[in-house]
Amino acid sequence: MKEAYLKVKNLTKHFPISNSLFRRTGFVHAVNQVSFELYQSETLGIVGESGSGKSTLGRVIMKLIQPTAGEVIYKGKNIFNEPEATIRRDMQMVFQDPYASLNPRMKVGDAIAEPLLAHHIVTGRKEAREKVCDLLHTVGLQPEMYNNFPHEFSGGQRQRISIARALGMAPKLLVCDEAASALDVSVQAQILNLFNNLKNGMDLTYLFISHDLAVVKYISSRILIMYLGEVMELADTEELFSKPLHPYTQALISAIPEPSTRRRKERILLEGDIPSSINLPEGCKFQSRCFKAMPECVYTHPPLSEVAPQHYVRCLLYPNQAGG
Amino acid sequence: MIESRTFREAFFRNRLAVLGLIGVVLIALTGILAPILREYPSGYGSELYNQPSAKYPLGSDSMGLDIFAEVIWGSRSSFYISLMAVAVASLIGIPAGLISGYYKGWIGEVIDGTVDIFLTLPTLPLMIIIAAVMGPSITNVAIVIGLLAWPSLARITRNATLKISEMQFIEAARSLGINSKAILFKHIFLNIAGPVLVNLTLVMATAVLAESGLSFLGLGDPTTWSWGTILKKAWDAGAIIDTPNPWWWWLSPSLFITLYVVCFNMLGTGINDTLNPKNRED
Repeated sequence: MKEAYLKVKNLTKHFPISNSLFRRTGFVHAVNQVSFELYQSETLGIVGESGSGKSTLGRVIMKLIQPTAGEVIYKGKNIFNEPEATIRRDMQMVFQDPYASLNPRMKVGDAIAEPLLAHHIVTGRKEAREKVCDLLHTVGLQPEMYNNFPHEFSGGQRQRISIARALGMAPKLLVCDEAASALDVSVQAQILNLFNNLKNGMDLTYLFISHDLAVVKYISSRILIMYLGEVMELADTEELFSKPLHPYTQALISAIPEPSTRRRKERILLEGDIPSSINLPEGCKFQSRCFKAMPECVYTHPPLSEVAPQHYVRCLLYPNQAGG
Repeated sequence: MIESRTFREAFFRNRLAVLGLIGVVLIALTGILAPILREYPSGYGSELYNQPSAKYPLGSDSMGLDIFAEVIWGSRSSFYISLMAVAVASLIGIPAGLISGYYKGWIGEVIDGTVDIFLTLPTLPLMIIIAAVMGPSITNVAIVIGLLAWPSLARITRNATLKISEMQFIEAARSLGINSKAILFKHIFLNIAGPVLVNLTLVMATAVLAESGLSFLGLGDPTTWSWGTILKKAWDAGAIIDTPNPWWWWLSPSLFITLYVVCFNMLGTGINDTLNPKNRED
């Protein structure tokens, strides 16, 4: 059994909505009771459509947002009870929008050097400059770009700069929040390959958040499917693609476009949109759109059960076999 | 500043900005060098109501004093008042705006409420009352102007901060473990420096206008020459309605006030244009 590197336990985040100063009208249930373990040196892909809470989950794990409830256990301690500095160097994040995640008024070299100096990883301007040039080289950019401003770069180059900035802290875990989604397909492939090379070279663990199952399939060793803030299915990548159990997963996989001229046999079409996360459905969160919905789905909330070793599903179709 | 070199290059390519800067520097130099340029005008002169001539470049007034000397010494006090007012306004206004924009909770609400209260106060009557209570001294006048200028500066800082603090690179900086002080005074301040600097130049300009107004109403320091004081003396002597009209007496201080305001505005616009890196590609 592999060692759990990071344990997420019943993590919940509800955002209060208030339309006046004193009245609280409800909550956005962004993340609900999410639990999973992240293993050393793996890439866990988190997939879900817009509004499924995957980005919020990433931010809570990064301690950028305080959770409503739940724990993230790292090195035996709950990170929410620890001072900020303990996790900042080990966990880093690459953001979605390469055009917004760099300060437009700072030279990219200074932007990469800033956290190095703030955390005393390097001492002095000269050493910082050398380190920054190394980092630029690592992500496939020229060291001469030190003095350029972000607007002089393309989206892919900017994303490389963001990655270099995160790598400067020598992190062990990299949370990639839609890190390739804003790029066009060929650049996307370059960035994904860069992620893979870095992982092998630096023994990184990834939490790869994306809405694109094809991208996640390419890069992940395990995949977690989210819907309305809940874990729907969690399994190894091969297992998930060969034996998708949850109807939602099946629908997602059937929606991946295939580069083929033959007509596809079947495609599962889901109707409607993701329900509002303010007033959650009572039973299964997915039953309103599920093509296999049964009457009991409306009022019974299915638990997440391990139906095969390391394969978890939240669906009433699969009674709990492993745990009993 | 990190980008000082490129900023300087782009700034000097902007003709309007350079013109404004030259005007501001000239007025500042005149003020600083006033004791060397002309003797402090006081007492009585022998030649009243002289037209502009070689001896009196801007003419003389009803007491026979050299108006050129008065204007030079006036620019000294005007510049001093502007600097003091800006110092007072930015010491209160910029941190207040940054903090209320970045920490949105109750502390932001309290600061924003205070700004609202100050913005609703009628400036001119309040200025007159405070100036009257505090007594006529140009430092007092400058502090009063600064105290009444900070809310607008705080509001502008806050609005710009609100916009910038929601951007992803601020979140990125937080996830990189940069502390709040560095985020506020470096990341955010770099990005709001444009509107803030422009507003500061406006405060410099309005400070002179306000001072002239106060002096004209007789609430300035009667022992110090300022452009407003010259105008007041011209008005008291009836120079504005007299025939034949000693136009040089009231025209030169008015022109200098206008020039001062226009130069600072051009400088502010120039800084704003230059600070945006997208405008300096070619």
